[in-house]
Amino acid sequence: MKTFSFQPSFEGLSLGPSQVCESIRLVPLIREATVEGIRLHRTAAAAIGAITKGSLERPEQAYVSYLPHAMVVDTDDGPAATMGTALMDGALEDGAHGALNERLRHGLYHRMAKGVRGRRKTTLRFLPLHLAMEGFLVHHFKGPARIWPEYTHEVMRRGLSPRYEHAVRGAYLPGLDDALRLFELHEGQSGVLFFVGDRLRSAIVAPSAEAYRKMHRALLTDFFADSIRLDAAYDTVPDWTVDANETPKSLDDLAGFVQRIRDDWSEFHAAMADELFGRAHEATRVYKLRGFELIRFLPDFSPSDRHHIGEAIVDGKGRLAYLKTYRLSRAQAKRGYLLSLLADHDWDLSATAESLGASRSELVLRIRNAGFAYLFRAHVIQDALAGRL
Amino acid sequence: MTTSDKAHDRVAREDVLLFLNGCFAATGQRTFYRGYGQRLSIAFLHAYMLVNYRPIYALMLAAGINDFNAALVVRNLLRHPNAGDRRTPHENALIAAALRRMPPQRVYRLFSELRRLRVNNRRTRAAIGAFLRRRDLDFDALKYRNGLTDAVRHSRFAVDEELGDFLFHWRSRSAFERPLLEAWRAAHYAKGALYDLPFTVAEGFAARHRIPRSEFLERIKPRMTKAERERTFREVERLGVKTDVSLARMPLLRATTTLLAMDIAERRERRETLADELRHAAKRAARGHQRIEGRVALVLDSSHSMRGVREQRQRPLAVALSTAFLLDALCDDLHVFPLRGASAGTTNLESLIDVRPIGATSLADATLRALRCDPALTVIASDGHETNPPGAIQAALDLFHAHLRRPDQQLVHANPAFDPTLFSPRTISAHVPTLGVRDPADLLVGMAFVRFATGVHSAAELEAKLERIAAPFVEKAA
Repeated sequence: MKTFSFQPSFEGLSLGPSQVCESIRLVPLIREATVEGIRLHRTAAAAIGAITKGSLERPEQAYVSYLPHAMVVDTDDGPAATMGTALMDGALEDGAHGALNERLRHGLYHRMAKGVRGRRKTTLRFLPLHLAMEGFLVHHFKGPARIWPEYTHEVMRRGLSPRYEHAVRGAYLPGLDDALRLFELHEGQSGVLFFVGDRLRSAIVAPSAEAYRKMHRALLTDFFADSIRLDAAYDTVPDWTVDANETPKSLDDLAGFVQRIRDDWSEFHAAMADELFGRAHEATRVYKLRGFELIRFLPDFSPSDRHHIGEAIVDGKGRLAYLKTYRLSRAQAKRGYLLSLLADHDWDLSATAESLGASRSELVLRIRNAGFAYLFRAHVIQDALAGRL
Repeated sequence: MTTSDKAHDRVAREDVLLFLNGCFAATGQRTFYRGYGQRLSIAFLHAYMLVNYRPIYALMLAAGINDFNAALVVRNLLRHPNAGDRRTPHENALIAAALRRMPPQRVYRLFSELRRLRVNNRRTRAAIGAFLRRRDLDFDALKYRNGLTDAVRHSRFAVDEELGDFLFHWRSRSAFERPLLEAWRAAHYAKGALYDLPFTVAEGFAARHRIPRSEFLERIKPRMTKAERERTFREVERLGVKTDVSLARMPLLRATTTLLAMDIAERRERRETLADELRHAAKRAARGHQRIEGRVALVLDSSHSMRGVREQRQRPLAVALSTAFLLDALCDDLHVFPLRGASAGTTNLESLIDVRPIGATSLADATLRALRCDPALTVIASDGHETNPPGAIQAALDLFHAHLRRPDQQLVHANPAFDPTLFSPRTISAHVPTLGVRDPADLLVGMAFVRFATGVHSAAELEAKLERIAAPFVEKAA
């Protein structure tokens, strides 16, 4: 698939001063003007998975997870009042939904992002964050293209399937419910930077303040890498104090002083979010809408940094209309890194080990410890453990 | 005066002010930023005051502290009855006066609490007896049945035989002679009888007999008290029953709370009338208070956090809004500065009728706008949690105090929310006194105490001053 470089930017957004609640810091992203020509809705539909490749009757690839809700993007100019409900029925129509459990309405989605039938590429339904997560899971999913003797037949035939990752729901996070309740939304606020223990966990941007207000509480149903609970339990974040050592001559000076505090905050928060906004990501286009495109992106997985995966809707000039990101845990980033490294060397263990300056045994053990033991034949692992590879 | 005397005075002053602030603001209920935990925090303050400043602690009953705290003071005084011979009669008079002033449901709850705590000394029994002797016991037996039963049982108060039967085994009689008691008995079996009962008692029976709400409200109307009519008039009007309730006749705070419960469209539509009614209510609330000279600026925090909690919806905002109307009634030149609004502020209170608690708190901006109009008195009505940007108000006020403030410029922070972690309402600056305000009238009482806080009075002087307030308080109740 064609990839291109993508760096999210704060263009059209300004950063407000953060609000802190125990270990959680929320930084408001404020829009001066709503993004025209696009609307975003959230629809609640509890589903248990999505067929991401192939038809519903003959699925080739499936993504199984709890999917609490879907997003609907609408670039049509016409009225969109009942979009949400109409699409939810549509979504469940694509799937063979049944009554496994009476209380949980469930079904299957067809495709992570799917245009709505009967409309000319103006309306799209997609599954927030899962779209990005799937992008991460299918990263070098096909496995080796050449037959190397170390890999199992299964991997040769079916790739890395089943590939899985763990995450926790926002609701499990102590204090998040309170933090969202106590947070005072700014006028024109269209997004948020979400920090736990002063580490950026997620960035959310919506096209308008109205759309964001509906997404604000959805942080509770979003998912996060499981290390987030440790950050929340052990880190408390200081609410910074302001230095007041100047000599104002008038009330105008004081007003300027207050504005300077605000600007300092803004600058500081932008620096805190540098790991996401200060770097180029590798993006692929998922869907093209009128005047906008839905993309998802992966980081470069360099071992020393923190990495975010995410999805975005950008306009022709690369400005964000929508953004949602997920910060990978260290283990997840390491898995991404090792897969990239293997793929770069055509899955040749000797060449890969050489590039790392390690032995083949060490490399195999690293891959095994990262959770990919199932790639190798049993004797390869045994030899690696004995240092004989 | 020696240094240690001075230090002692300062400590006493700070303690008393902390306590007083707590007593105006703390209700034991949740607040927007803090969950439960208030009770623990305020209980500590009470215990501390009781041990260290018992005379002042008892005199607080006369200082206009709220009912929740008055009940705590009475409870603690009775729980530790040994005040010294000289003070006991005086304390007893204060307790009796406080009990008479408090709403009866709170008094009965206090009695039940004393029973639960097994506080049954002679003073307690005497206080309960003195209270019960002045009540219409038939009425209380209906309305506060459990409380009265507890009180009678606990204090061994002698009631007549009929009332005794009514409280302890009402089924043993086939009829009561006294009409109220008989109506209550009959209402168990006959729908018609419940309309002779007080409203809240009849409500329960109406539900039991499945009487439609509109029919019930229509027929019970003559039995409702003023407060009950005011409390239910929105519901009554929705059901199509006409009422003659107007905000103008309500206590100011209830009027603003009622206003804020209306939807925005209705408020905008009736803007002028509603503002007029509130001005009337404020005029009544201002009666007896001293007028304020010069220009007054009010910073009105209308941020999201002023919506309060489910138990007391929009209460903080209602307090702030009442403060605006009360100040308007007390001075000639009031400028109000809501967080979002014209930079010159507004002198027209009609524009405040559709105020809503939304958005971030940019308190520093609004305060600086207010100071620009050069007021003699600036009142900042806010819960003190600034979010846009946090800490700016403190820095700005510190700088203002250090470099720009004229000596005759007075600033006061009126805070409707108690913060149990601080044992007091949250402050915004060391140079601006913070007053815990549950009701706008508290602000005026509190302002008198501010002078005490700024070092004009000493602890002994305060006691003398409180004594002067206490004398008419006790007399009036007697």
